[in-house]
Amino acid sequence: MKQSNWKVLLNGIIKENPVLVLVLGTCPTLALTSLAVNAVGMGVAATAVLLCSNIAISLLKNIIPDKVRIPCYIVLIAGFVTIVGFVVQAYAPSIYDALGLYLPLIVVNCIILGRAEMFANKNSVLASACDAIGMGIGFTLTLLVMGSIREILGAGTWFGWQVIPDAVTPMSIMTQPPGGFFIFGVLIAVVNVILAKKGKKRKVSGCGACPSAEHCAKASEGGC
Amino acid sequence: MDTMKNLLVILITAILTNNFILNKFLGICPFLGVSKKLDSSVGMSVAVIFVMLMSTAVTWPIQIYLLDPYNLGYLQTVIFILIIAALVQLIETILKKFIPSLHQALGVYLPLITTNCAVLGVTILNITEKYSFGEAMVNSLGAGLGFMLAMVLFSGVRSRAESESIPACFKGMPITLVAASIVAVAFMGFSGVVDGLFK
Amino acid sequence: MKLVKEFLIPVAVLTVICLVVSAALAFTYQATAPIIEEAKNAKANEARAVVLEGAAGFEKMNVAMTDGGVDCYRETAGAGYVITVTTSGYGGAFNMMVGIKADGTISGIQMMDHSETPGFGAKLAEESYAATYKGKSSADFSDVAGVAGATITSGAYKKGLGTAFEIHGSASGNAVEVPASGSMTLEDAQAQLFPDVAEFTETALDDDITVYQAGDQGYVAVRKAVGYHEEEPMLLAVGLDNSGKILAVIMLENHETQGLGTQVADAAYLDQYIGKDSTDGVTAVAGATVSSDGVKSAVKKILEQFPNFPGQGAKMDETVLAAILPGAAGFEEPAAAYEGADQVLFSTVRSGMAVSAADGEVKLAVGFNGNGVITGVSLLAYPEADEAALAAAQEYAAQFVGQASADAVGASDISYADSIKNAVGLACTVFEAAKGELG
Repeated sequence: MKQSNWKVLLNGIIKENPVLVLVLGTCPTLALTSLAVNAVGMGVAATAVLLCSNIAISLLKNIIPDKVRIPCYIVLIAGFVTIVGFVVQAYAPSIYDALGLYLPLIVVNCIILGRAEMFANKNSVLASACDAIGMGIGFTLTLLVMGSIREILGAGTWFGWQVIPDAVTPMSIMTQPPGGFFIFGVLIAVVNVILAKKGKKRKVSGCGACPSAEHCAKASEGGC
Repeated sequence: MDTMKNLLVILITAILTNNFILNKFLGICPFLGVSKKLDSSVGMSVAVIFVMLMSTAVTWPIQIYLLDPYNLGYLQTVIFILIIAALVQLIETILKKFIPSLHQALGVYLPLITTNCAVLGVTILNITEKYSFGEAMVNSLGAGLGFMLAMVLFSGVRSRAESESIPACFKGMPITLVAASIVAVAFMGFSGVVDGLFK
Repeated sequence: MKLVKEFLIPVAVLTVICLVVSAALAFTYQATAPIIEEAKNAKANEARAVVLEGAAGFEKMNVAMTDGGVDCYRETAGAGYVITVTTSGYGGAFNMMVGIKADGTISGIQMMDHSETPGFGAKLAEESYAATYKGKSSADFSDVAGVAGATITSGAYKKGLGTAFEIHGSASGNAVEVPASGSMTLEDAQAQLFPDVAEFTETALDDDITVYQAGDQGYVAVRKAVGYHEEEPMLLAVGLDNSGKILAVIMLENHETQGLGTQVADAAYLDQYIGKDSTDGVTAVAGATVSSDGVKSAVKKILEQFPNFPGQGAKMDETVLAAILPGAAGFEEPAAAYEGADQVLFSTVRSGMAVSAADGEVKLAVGFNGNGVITGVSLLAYPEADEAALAAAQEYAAQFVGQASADAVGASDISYADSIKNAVGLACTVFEAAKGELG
């Protein structure tokens, strides 16, 4: 039963939010959310890659043989990541500096490979594109929320504007790794509460949605 | 003596001060997913160390002797991830054929490592930090060891957390993350260590 | 057929995709590379203009970069310099652009590419913090306060400033082009050291030292000195007098780091060696330790080889002294220098004198008691290696013991008898001259 493309898009924002529900793409979520502007930068870059890769893979889904599909996806995704990287470097160098190492790491962002495996190679180009946009928006929004919380609490600013008066000393730990873990955990807890209230069960989480899940059969006992 | 000191500093920094999981946020997926039990933590970590070392051994020379001289730096991402994927596949096949017992123990974790940010991360970092080959290998070893340290410590924390009564909404991922944040605070305390070590 | 389907086609598809992707990447790279480069340069120059007030344009300088230096640009109108350095902070390495005015004070600082903690280390990147360094020179910038709670970043910041000042020092001091190599030729150096000497006799010694003897006035010893650039060592000419004291150290070739290591060729450093017979107490040039040590080590080696210089010979050591002045001890050098003697030593216990004199290639150590009677003669240098000849010479020399003058002993038909007699005679003359001081 095919969902309407619009529903597909909305899906990615809330119901199957890649970060908070599927718990994919955790690395950039934690790393790039110390400042709201960096969070948005990462979100947009990842969305761009996701969109391109979903479209490309959906277009090529009948040509790519099953045996080599993972390496093919990887090459395509890596290519798009590099191209997006160039574009960002040329036109938004300060964001490029902020993203640093995490820009090439978008390649191994489970969200992108995961959506390619779970959606793009089974659906039409348009549907794949909508899925990508939805997931991307969900990703970016989540990152924005996390980034905002961490920046406001940790530095007293939002997108660089002073939000909390200077006199109040911010909780700098929020902008540092422990703060990232903490806020992330709290956010997921909040989402759990919302889901529970709606009576919905939590969807497959963590590595389950990862394309390597099939290899993971044994590891699933270990808690994957 | 100076090289030894330098290498030691890199090693300790990678393990403690710039711990890949708790400081650099690389390798979070397996960290959250596989650290429930001690033996799976150790198994995953060993596999990671192995793949990191091998990947560095292959990607570093390729960057220095192939990509840089021919100005092909932009192919770095594509080539590195392909090498890592290929290496993982190769290692799995070799283990299956020649050391089945090891394959039994580690094999399940290997495919997961391809998408592990930590492995791709360390190979790229070795280049951006302009390390020599020796330094790169030591850095990768340190990264892997730090990964193992965090995983093992954490499996202890998680197995404890299992037996406690936790509010429903925090069960599972959230409490894991909060616990991780506390462990991360502990590791922050290492930031001054390296400077003072060799005074 | 199965093979083709199961193996070749997948591989082919993968290969095609790889090629297409690579092509796409190459294309995008070519397209964006110039834009990126331009953006980088524009950003850099903009940052430089911010950091050095009143700047018109910049040109890159080719100055030696100490550890941590990235580049150095001079403002075209002479307003100062903008130096980029890299330093290691809390979140990793970051760059700093430091503008130093012509008077050596800080005009502005920009912290770039940093991953410091927002609210703490990142505070140092703010304009307000950089402003606290305005006007500071290399002497007082370290007094400026850091940011509370960002100790590591503050320390790294100051270290970066230090590096910038170091580079500034060498950059501004090198307004004049100094030739990197060839300060002086050997002939010029010889002429400068011994202006009266026309001919120098060349001898090669151990340890890669070449000695040019300046008649009987002294020596010019030439040796290479390995400094900072190991593959291009410096070449030194050390002028020495007959007693082993340094007359001057001259740099013949210097390929050290411009502005830093080249300072060891300056008079300020090399003058330290004048008058010394050892390298103790020579201080290195600040910031050019390796080059300085290279020079010092080479000079030391030359001094160590001095006893082997032609014309220098064995000195009277304890064994010799015990042989020619039995029972004497507490040897001191006389206050005055006595012509004709290579070495004169007074014995403070049991009044006596030891004189070493040479005639031709024969060198003797002669011991006198307080009355001028010869108590012992020892061969220090003798031009024959044959054991029998040496024994004969020693036997002949022993005939002088108990005499008060060389004439008391007759001639001999051994080869160098005359030289021995003359040397003893010379020693007696020296005794006559020095006995007054002996008291």
